[in-house]
Amino acid sequence: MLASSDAALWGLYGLNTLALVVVEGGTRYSGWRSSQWVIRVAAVGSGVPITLLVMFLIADAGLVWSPVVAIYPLWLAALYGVYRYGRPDLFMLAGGCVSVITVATLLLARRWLWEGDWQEGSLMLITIAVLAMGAGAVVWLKRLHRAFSK
Amino acid sequence: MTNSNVVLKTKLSRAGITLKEPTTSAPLEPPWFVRALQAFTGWLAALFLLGFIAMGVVFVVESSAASMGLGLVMIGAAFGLFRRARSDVLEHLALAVSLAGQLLIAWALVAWWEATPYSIWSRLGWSLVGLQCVLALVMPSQIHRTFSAFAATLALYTALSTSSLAPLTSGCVLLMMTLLWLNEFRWPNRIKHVQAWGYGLLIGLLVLQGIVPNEQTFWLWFEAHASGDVSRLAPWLNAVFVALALMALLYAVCRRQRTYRSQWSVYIAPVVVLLIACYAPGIGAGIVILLLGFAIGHRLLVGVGVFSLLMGIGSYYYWLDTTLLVKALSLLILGLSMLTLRWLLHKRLPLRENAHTERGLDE
Repeated sequence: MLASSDAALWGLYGLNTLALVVVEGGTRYSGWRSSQWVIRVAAVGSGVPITLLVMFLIADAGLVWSPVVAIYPLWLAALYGVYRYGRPDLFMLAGGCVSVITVATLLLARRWLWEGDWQEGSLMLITIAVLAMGAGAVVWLKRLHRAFSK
Repeated sequence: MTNSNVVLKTKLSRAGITLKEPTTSAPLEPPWFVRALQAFTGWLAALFLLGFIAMGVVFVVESSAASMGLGLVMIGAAFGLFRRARSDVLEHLALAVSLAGQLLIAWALVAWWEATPYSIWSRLGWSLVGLQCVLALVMPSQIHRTFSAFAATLALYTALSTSSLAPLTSGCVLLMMTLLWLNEFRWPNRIKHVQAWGYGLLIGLLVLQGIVPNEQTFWLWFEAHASGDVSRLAPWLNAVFVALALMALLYAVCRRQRTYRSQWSVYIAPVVVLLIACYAPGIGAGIVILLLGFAIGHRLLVGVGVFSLLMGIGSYYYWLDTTLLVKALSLLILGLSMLTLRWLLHKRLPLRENAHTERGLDE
């Protein structure tokens, strides 16, 4: 069951990433006209499955070696490189932030709660960590928004 | 500055219109997805915070007085947080804290009234209606106002269900919502408040339509205390509420367009809708929402009205108390009569060019 859902997520990730690369390449090098939201939907279709794959891995086995552990950072780096410097798009970067915060929170919950003792202090620490990550992401995105608007 | 602004500015300057440059630049609002990110992290943090509170003060749940006290303190804390919140993270965190406080208060009320011989659900429902109304008025947050109006709708349904008057809920909420939206701009300082309450009631109405198709009570485990006569009157009273909502809407429309006043067909239409509302309440409510949206030029309300109408027709079609043939025939008759009514209104009412006004571009 889990294997088949993993395969479906890999399939979704592959298809949407391919679509994203083709549309972005076509728009950039071949002068294709495409709506910004078509590209964004393809990016969401690529980002959600890879995030879910990392989350399933962390929930099942922790941060152990798996292809997704290598692909996820590469995907994030590509997202940052393209949409921060190549073709600035705040939506993509905000999506990347949501993905990172979700994965990091799950990782912290696994380390401090499931593998720990379920103490009140751990819950408070995770709360602070989530708030800090959220505030940091928002400050960064607002700064980028100001920079992109100039 | 965006390209469209530059193009517009160039066109205006070519036409000889000079624009006065603003001395101070307007603050740059973050886009909606950045606000959504803030809301997401606020709720994620709130979940862990609530876990922390639940583990730390588990002994509180055992005492109803302590539950009530802590609930009130948490609502007070949420109020303070809303007043000081400058970001969406804190606003959503405050909403989660307030929600936890409300749950603790509800828990305390259940514990208190379990011992009384009266229906616990009725008392709990009415208490929560009161609590949510106060919170909707007091809490300094749009999201909380919307949420409280929505929760008040569900609490009202719970309160009326135990008296077998559940069918009244949607009509009552529809009337309140219509009056609110018709008076949206009456109090200039409270426009946002009225909109928040209106949206909350609208969501509540849709949920009621979704979970209670054709006003069939789903609280099967609640004891019904009312006599059969009162419960038999409930659908009729609901139809009266729908008719009152329609009359209020009609009054507002006629006040703006005086030529409609002398047209008899304008007064016939609500009677037909009232008859439909008696037979299929969901359809009547959908028609009123749709007309309300069109009358005040609110596209979202028009869309929700269409959705509600479709949901009303769908839920009526899947109602198991009548045979499929009867339902199909009655829908056919309803549809034909409404089309005839539309044709009559179209023929009789004076047409005005450019009569349709969009939101924000009022006459």
